[in-house]
Amino acid sequence: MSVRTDNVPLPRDIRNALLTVMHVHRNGLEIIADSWRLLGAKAVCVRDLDQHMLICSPQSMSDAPEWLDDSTPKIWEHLLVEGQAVSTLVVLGLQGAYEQRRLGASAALIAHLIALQIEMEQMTAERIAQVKLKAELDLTASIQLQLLPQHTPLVAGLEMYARSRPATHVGGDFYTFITHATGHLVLAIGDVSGKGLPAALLMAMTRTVLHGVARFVPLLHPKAVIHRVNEDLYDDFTDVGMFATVFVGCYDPSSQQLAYANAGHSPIIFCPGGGSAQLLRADGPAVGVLPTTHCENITLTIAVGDVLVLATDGLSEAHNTDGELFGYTRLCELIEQMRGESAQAIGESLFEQINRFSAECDQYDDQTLIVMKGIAV
Amino acid sequence: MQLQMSQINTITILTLTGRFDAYSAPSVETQLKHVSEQAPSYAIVDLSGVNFVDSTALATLVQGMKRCRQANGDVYICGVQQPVRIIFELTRFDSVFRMFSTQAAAVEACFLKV
Repeated sequence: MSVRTDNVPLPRDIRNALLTVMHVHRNGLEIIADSWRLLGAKAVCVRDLDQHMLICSPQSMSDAPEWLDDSTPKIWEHLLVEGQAVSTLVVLGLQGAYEQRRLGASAALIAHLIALQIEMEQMTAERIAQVKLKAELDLTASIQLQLLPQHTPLVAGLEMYARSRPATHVGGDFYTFITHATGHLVLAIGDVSGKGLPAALLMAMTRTVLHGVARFVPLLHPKAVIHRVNEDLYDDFTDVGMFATVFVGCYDPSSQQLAYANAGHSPIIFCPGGGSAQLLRADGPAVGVLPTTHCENITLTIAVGDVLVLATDGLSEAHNTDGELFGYTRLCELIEQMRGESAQAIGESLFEQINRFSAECDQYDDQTLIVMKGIAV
Repeated sequence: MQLQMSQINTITILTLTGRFDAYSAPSVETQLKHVSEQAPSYAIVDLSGVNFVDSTALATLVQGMKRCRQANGDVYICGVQQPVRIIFELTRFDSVFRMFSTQAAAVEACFLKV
């Protein structure tokens, strides 16, 4: 079998499919050199060993083209790829009704095989694109993981636990710790609206701006951090129709006080050692919602035995197979039950309970958790 | 989620039922954008039948509100029930939107503006 395709500018997928089918079946077909040019660049001509002509057109032809003699006995077969006619195969040179039937079946088979081959090649191309996309997502996920603290900081008077798990490869949640030489700890947790890559992109941007701003704002003045972050990001968030909830705190080990400002972030749960867990309301809306924020500096003492839980809504909004939400009440009850345990035990237990609650359900949203517990210095 | 559109004079009312989340947000976004391109650009979003909102849904309301306010209009929210109410309160979205307990109260407030 010889195939010459030098002057045959058939679409690559149809040409490859034709060649593959011919190669696999060894049916002695030959693409006639220059047939593309001879047929006015409308079709390629293929000849079998019995000198029957098969004309393969790159477009689906419903009517015989001008260059085909209407009186010539012929068989039409459409190449259907995913139900769409992408090409037409015409068999010419038929002698008598018997041969027409025999070759008709053969042409149908060839058309079917070519179509299958095109489908397979398209699937392979899609698969390659998927593998590439997956590799890029894996890389993005590992970069995003690097943006999160690799360890919880050691701070006098505090036990800490922190963990984040995105709903998909990447997510819009973030948290960060900045330790100062003075012993102060600046911490932030945030959640960009939406999920996946768009949220991840804005998460990286918000975290970077926040880090930059936090360096230049006086300690114990978290509301100034949020004001500045909002000023820097308001226009960008408005352009893309998104926002980010941000909680910024600065912990002073000498007084065991946390000064914080909360731009629309929830849930924040404070459980005093001897009291009941309470949800702390944000004092201003999320970053990117209004041109100016209304956040205030609020001070909270984290005495020995007190627990402060900073979470994202992916935890409170985890749902079970009945569509029921995990909710704030369960979170508060669990924290009250666990407050005698270490920060790590509380954090791990919360994730475990949420896993159990939402077993057999896909994780709907990113879940991030910081647990801080006051301990004796 | 179900989205029902209605009109009282020149005020557009979007009545939502069920889960208002990332999957249902695009249709609400389209409608609010449409309102922001009309005059007067006032819309009322009735959430009395909504039992869940996620951050994408809230972002959609914020985006619609920004567009309408830019066109000298606004987006009013009414009928918010628990557990959606507590989300608005904890995150202070109740300070961003004008909130009304009933649709009638929201319509009345709109009439004073248009």
